[in-house]
Amino acid sequence: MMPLLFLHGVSLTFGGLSVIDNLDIQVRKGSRCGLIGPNGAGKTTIFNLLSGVYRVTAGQILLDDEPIDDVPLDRRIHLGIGRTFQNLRLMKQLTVLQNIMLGQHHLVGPWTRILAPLATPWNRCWREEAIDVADTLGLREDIHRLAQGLPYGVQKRIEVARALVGRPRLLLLDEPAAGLNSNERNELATVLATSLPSETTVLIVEHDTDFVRSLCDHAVALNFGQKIAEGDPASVCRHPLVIEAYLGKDEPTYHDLPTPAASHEPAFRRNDNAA
Amino acid sequence: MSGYASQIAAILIVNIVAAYSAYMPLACGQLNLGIAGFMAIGAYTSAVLSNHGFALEVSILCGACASTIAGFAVSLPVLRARGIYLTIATLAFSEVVAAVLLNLHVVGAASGFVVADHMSVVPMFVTMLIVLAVVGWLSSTRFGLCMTAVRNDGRGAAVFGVKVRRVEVAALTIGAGFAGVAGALYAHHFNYLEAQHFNVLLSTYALLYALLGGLQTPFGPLIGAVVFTLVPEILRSTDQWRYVGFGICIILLMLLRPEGLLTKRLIHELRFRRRPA
Amino acid sequence: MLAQQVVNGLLLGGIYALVALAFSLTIGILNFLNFSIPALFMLGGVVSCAMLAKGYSIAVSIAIALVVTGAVSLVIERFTFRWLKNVDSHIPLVSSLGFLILFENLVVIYFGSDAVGYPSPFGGASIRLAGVLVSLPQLASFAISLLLIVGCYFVVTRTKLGRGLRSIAESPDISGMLGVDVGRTVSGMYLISGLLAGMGGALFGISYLQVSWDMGSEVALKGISAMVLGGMGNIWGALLGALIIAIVEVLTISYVSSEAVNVIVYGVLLGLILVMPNGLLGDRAVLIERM
Repeated sequence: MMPLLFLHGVSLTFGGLSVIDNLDIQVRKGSRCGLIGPNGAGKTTIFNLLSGVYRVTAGQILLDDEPIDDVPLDRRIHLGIGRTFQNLRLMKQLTVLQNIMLGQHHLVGPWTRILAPLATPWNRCWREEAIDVADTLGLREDIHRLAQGLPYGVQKRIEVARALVGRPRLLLLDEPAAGLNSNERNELATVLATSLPSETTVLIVEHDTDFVRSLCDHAVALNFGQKIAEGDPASVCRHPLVIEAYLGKDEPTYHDLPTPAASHEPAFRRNDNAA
Repeated sequence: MSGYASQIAAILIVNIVAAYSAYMPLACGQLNLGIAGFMAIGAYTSAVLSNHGFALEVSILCGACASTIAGFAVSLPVLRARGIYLTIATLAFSEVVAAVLLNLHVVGAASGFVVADHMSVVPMFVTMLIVLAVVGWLSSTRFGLCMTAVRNDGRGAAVFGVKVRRVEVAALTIGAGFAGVAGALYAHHFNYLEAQHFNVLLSTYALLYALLGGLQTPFGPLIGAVVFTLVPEILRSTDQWRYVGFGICIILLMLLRPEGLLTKRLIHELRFRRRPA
Repeated sequence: MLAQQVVNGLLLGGIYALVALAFSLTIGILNFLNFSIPALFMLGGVVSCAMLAKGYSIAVSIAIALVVTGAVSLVIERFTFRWLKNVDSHIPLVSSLGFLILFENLVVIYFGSDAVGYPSPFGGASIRLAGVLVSLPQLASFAISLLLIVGCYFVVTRTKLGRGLRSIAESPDISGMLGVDVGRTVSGMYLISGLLAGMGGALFGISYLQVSWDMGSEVALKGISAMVLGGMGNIWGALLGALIIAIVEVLTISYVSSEAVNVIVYGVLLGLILVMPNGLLGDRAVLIERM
């Protein structure tokens, strides 16, 4: 089956620094793919390449068999690529609802964009759709509050709502659960599992391996801009290179007792039990 | 209306319209120091037309059109420059316009230009209401949403498909149109134009009314113009001391409340406080 | 005669260069257009004029003017500059406009709105060099300006303060973390640009024997033009730009008309920004790298 997204030998260098190195990733349509790896591995950089902030230095990115490398930043969303930002890029002086409605900007016809006040019947369907998405993400009471000054967890959900309302076919979620407490995290995982249309392909950058395992059917692990593992989430998380990337090379620590039967994966197991 | 009161009203109306001409580009994050130049274009164009027998309304409309066209022509190249360069370029444009008019003997050059047709306060007020209506309408549309988005985070707005350059050009052009209206109103009430009047200080004041009033809501420039035109009058201080006071106000406001007098938060607070707890 | 006009232009350019340099430093390091610099230029001229009128010697008068200008620039820094995280970059610019309005009108109140003659002890002494009439005060002013500009260059490139300035120009946040005393360095910068502007005003008075409340605004735009022409943040660019602007101005006055000056100078500025926004010698990067 043709992949929706195909990164083919993609490299990105800044001056002499190679940030992404000969990356080959294929993502099937409708798949939920987790991108994991330590900080600095290049995960957000891939999102930036996909959304047009950066241009590849080598290789090609194909979306539904069409190369997208020459599409400028403000046209990428028309291709159906929606994203959230790791460092929250909400419009501070707009309300929650207005921020979400910005996400549908590319769908609205030109005259409705300019001539019709947002509160009038012409824009009713757009408003209602935005409110629906806000509702799905538990933002109903806050829709008329200014985005600035709202709690972090709420702001993260606004980001997701804004990306969702744009009806993307490729949704890029950049650490959607980072900074949330475990309740919020579970809620978000449930919302994402239920509210995402099945045709939407989702790429999720996340550190929380449980989050990735519960939501994703596919995972790709990166380190230093290179792919180090790929496959179903459970096996990727257990892959020795991945463990090494996150936790360092397996050296004896003071936790290890020097007994002959000591296993060589104590650290990981301990985490696994604690989770 | 007494002579003095109508004089103040006229100045206030011109200041309000000028403040909105500064507000439009500011709402997109662009500092336009060329407002005086566009005012001059509107003023002189409408004055020449009305002196040649055209109806007042037609003359003012044409003055506004002239400044709008000039605004569009200028904004396309000028908006390629960013930030401080943009400000300086608009400043340079304004100075060039004033300097050209100073040399144009057809409009009196240095000795000034008399405008025959007089416009009283009431039609000026109506014109101002039209301008306010246009601003209110634009702010309530997606275009208004885009302006705020561009001001808050231009790159971020672009990710969502907003054509940032187009929004900025539109804002500057509309602002230039408003400036033309302000100039035309000024020309036909005070009936005398001199090129030296349209200097950088005039642009600065228009800018300050908008900034001090607050950019977050469409009412900010109105408040700014009203407060900073009427308060000096009410205090009845001599010319120079009122400007000293103005200078001190600017410094204090930028230090203590740089978002301006009227902010969205203030409005939200007032609204939520009015609801029963 | 052409040579005469070019010489006149060069001498005028020396004074514009001080203002251009003051603007250039502020933009290069703090990234805003500081409209209080014309106010300080004016104060330098007006205060030294007032002191001379009171009977003090030229040296004392200029010294007092510099003290006043320096003190005022530090006050301005106190009331303007704050490292704000979400800097709406118009805030310091607007604040500086407030200071300009404040000081210009204070001067009108205390000294009136007419231009005042500058009681310089040198008067209009001049000599003839190769057939060109050179005003001695103007020549001395030019020499002093050059000295100040060279001094500025050494401060920026060789001293600790200069390193701090260049560091802040590159990255304000990291500078603090690396141990640069950001507060004192910034104050130093305000002081330097204020003194340059103030000295420029005093030199203007000595050279052209006249000061007025709006002399700052007149020179400001030419200083800004010079700065853009030479490249923002570029020390030698400020000098080069100022000389060119001044020569263009003087030539326009004698060969075209005095009214046409503004059209040509600002027309050139406008064209320049649209075509070559990095100026003749390059943008603020030069402050950090080459120089």
